[in-house]
Amino acid sequence: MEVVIASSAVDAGIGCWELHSGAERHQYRSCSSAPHGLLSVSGRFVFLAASQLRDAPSATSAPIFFWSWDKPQVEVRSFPAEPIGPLISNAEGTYIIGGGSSGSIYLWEVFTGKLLKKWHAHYRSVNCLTLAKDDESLLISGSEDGSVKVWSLIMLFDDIAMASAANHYIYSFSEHSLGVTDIVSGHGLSNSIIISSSQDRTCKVWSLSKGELLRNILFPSVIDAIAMDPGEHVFYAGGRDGKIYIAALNAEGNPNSPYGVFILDTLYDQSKGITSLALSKDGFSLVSGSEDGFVRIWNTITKQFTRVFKHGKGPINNVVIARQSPLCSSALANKKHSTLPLPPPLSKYTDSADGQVKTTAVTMVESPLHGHQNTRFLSADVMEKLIQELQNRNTSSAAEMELEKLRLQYARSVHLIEQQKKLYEDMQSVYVSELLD
Amino acid sequence: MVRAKPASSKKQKRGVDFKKIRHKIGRKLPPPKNATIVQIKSKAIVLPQQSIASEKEGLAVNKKGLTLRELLQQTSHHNAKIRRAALFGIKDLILKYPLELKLHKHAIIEILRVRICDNDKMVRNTLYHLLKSVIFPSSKEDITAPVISLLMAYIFNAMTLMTVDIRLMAFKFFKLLALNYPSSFMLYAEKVLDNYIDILRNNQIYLVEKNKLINVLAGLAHCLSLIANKGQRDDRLNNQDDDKYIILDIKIAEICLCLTKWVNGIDFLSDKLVEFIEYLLLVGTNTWEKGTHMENHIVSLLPFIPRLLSQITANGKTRLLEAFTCSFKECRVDSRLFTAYLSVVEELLLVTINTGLQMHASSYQDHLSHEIAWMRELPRILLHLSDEHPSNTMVVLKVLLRIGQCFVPNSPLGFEYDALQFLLREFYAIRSHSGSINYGPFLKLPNDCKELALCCLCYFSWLTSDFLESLAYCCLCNDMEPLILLRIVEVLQTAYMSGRVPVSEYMSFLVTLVARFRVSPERFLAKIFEEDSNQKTFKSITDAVFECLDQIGDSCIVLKLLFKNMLNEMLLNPPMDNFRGMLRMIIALDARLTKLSDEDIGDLSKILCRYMVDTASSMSEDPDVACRFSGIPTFDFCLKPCIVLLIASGNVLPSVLKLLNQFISEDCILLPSESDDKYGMDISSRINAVSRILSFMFSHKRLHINLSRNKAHIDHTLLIMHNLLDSNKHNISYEERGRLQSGLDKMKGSICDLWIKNS
Repeated sequence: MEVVIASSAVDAGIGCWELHSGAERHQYRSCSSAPHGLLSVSGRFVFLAASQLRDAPSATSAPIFFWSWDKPQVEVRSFPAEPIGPLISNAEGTYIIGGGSSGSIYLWEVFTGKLLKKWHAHYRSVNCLTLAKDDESLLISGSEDGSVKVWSLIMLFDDIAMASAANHYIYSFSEHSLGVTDIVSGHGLSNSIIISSSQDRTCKVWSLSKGELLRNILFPSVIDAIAMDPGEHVFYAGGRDGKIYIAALNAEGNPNSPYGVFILDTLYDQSKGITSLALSKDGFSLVSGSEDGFVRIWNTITKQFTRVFKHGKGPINNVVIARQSPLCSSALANKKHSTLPLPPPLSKYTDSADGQVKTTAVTMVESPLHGHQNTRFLSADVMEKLIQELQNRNTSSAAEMELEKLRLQYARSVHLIEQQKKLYEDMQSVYVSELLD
Repeated sequence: MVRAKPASSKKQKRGVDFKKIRHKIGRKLPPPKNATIVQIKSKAIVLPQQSIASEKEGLAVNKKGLTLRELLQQTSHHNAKIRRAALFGIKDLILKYPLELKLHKHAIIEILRVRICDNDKMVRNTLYHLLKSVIFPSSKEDITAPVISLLMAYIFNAMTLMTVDIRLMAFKFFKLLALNYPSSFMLYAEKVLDNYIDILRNNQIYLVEKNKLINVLAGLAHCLSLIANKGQRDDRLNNQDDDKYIILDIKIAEICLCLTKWVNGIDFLSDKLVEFIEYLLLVGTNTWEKGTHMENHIVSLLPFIPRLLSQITANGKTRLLEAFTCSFKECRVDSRLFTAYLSVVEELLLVTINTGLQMHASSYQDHLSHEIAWMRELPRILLHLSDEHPSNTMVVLKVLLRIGQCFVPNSPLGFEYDALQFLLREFYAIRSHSGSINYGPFLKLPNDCKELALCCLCYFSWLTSDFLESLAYCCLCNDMEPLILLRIVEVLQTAYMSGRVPVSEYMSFLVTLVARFRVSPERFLAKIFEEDSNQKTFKSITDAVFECLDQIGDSCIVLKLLFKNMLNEMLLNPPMDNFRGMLRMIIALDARLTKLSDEDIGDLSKILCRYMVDTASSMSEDPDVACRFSGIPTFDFCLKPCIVLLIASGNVLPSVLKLLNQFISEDCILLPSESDDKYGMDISSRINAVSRILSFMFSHKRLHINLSRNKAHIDHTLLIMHNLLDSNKHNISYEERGRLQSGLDKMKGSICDLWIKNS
């Protein structure tokens, strides 16, 4: 089930609506989020996270809040060393990555709350972060200083490679003349693209494999948000003039367009500046958050808007489409006897006593948590803990693992049965045909 | 398209037996005049004598019995083995008959030199040995400059070939030549050194053919020693030679700098190098201002400076930096040299950013002072470049932007960057002491440069009011392009949003923009709305400004803060477009005027009143004559905002009516205190204006409720007007009086109807 969550820079809480039915859900209180600072974490812990704006310009720090899906109050408060702007997590919910106002990037482990890595990435504040969609080992960051940098998370933890490398990043693109406002990445392993938008009124499409600029599109206004079509046919760019521009990627350009060849069409509904965009998984509904405080849902095929939600008075600066697992929604339905667990707060500094990340050999259980991709990037501590839990067989995670194992076995046997059945049918048909002949 | 079938195809199918034979009848065509006759008529065929059968008695032959002529012919044989054999043969022959070499030296060299570029390695080696062991030693004195030039042509050719082997071999040949005939190097020194630089730059060769490069370097060493010798020999040189030597020196320095890339232990060299470069930088740029070729040579050295700086000692570093800064300041801004300087400056600045404060504190201080000097130079350069070299301006702006993006605010260089604003004002526009405005190069630059310049503004950590003033002058200039103007507003908006412009400065900037923007031609002077007027620009600017104001916060409070400012601007009697813009601004912020004091409202209604009277008296009443703006008569267009204001806020209407009342009886009541005598309106036009305003008010249904609340005032006004017309004090012509009277009566009637309807 997909839900739309939206937050604002002024304290209006986090609004939550079901995407398809439009039904309003919980409001989560006391949140004034930073741009790109709203995050729905899924995986072992299922929760909402938002980096907060600082109260006064003079304040040196601002917290990050966690909400459980079933409670409106803030459950966990963490206080990082500096105000954090953008927040992202990987798909399995094992890490949270945040970009600081001084240009540093922080990487926390969700399970333990440990700050695994902090590195100085940009000269100015980090404006947006995204992970390359394929294996999530590449981090792309965009900054106020106009640069877009691509980092390999694997390399960042490889001390030897770091020491020998001249640059810690893989690419640094500095073609934008003003601050970068948003970045999205596409699929395609070795051939994927990223799109960055900037205050200089351009969007630039980069090749992640070649590290070069593929296309530069000039817009009539500053673009604050972009969303890419799942088929990478077009992308949507939300402008400060309130229009959502549809720009071509693989699609054919339109030479008659009033905005230039690559801008195919616009979506417009008398709204003020678009601050955030999100696209549903099927690519049919586009959600836009605007400065006038409305969340609009557009149908990307008919190019009409289908729903409008009002969220408080203030301008919206984050819209996220979260996918709730059935487990989570069932917990919401009968909240009396199940509360979702939340992780510990994120720590402020890297743990110096414990050293950096432990590099011990750990033998993993063969069938991991969800599918086989899950535990590739877990720190040794967490893995050990998981194993211990599994050995003790008394915690929920262990039970879950066991369940997963059984499920896997079940799937395998079902497969086997089907194969045998097919074999049997084939044989039968052969015999029958032989007999008839 | 379907092609039509040829008509003949059917006819041809007729039976073969009855083939139709066509006979040509008549005279044949004479042969063409230019035809070649191919019939050969000869009594005998003579074949040239074959070599085997030839008589060689008395001729010099080698072991195999071949003459020199034959051997030389064979050197260009397509088979490499035969070529090699021919070379051996020549060696053999010359050793036997040294006289042959003396006689045919020219011919031999001319043919042998072709082999320098030979594709076969063995052939080249054989040639090398032939030259080394036989030809050069045996004809020491005979080989003169023309002969050397023969050889050099091919050696240079080989030095630039793609094939690495031939290239490297060419250097070997050259070394051989230089060893035997030192003068050959001095003749071609520059070109040779160029070739050395090329080969040293080539990474591929360095990686693949390391040991062969040693050969090359050995040759180089020899050449350099030659120069040294030469230098010692003749100390006294005339000026022309001096230039030449310096160019050679530059070449040598370049070679050394190339070497530093590969070799680490060059400390012994570095002092000399630094000294030379320092000399070059200090003396070079001003001595040879005319000589552009010299510039080109210095350009080739500059890119090495950053790396050199990282390798040399602190002392050398200081000296080099000083020289660099000095010559950077003196460099002509439109030269090629200058671009090279800029790129070095950018690189050096970025190096400091990346390494941060890790450097030695004292040396860092040094560095810092130079960097500051470079940065301060940039605005001056921008001014100097004016709009004549947009490409150079672009480069400077890019460097500026890069600096802005990378410097952390509150670092020493960050402060320095902010301070650049003061110097940059002149680049935009500045008000001179006499009060006139001097526009800087900014306005004349192409759009992409302007965009870039504006991008630089985004990275100032705060914008001073002086600087904003400069920007405002720029914005109000008539030549300003609408696109850039909007961009400036946008840039300021982002600056404000991130807290880099104080709100008061920001608001007054916006108000100034609306109040002072010159709409040309003024709508009320032009008879028809013209396509080329900047009316639309003004509209888009006001829209942008409204959006900015809206973003500031609670619009009622914003209006309260702004009001004094706006009032002052409105009192200055701006053109009607601007006045209307201001009114729209008030409406956009808070049409109800909730937060304004009574005094403010009084002032506002006074100004409103005057504006209405002005508009009513200056515009023609006849709908056919009155010009239109997008379908609306201009009078309606101008007064519309007033009506909106009157509808929304109940307090303004009574005072406006009261003022109109006074205006009817006394002329100058509406004027600002200073200027009283200009506003001469005779009584008839006064009555005309007021009645026009009133009827316009009554034509708006939504205003009726407000109007009926102020019935007393309106009735009073009507009465005064009536009395004025009745009394004979004023010299109004009879027709005029009749016209006014009828109009007044008509209005009175309609107003009375309304009163009755409402009551």
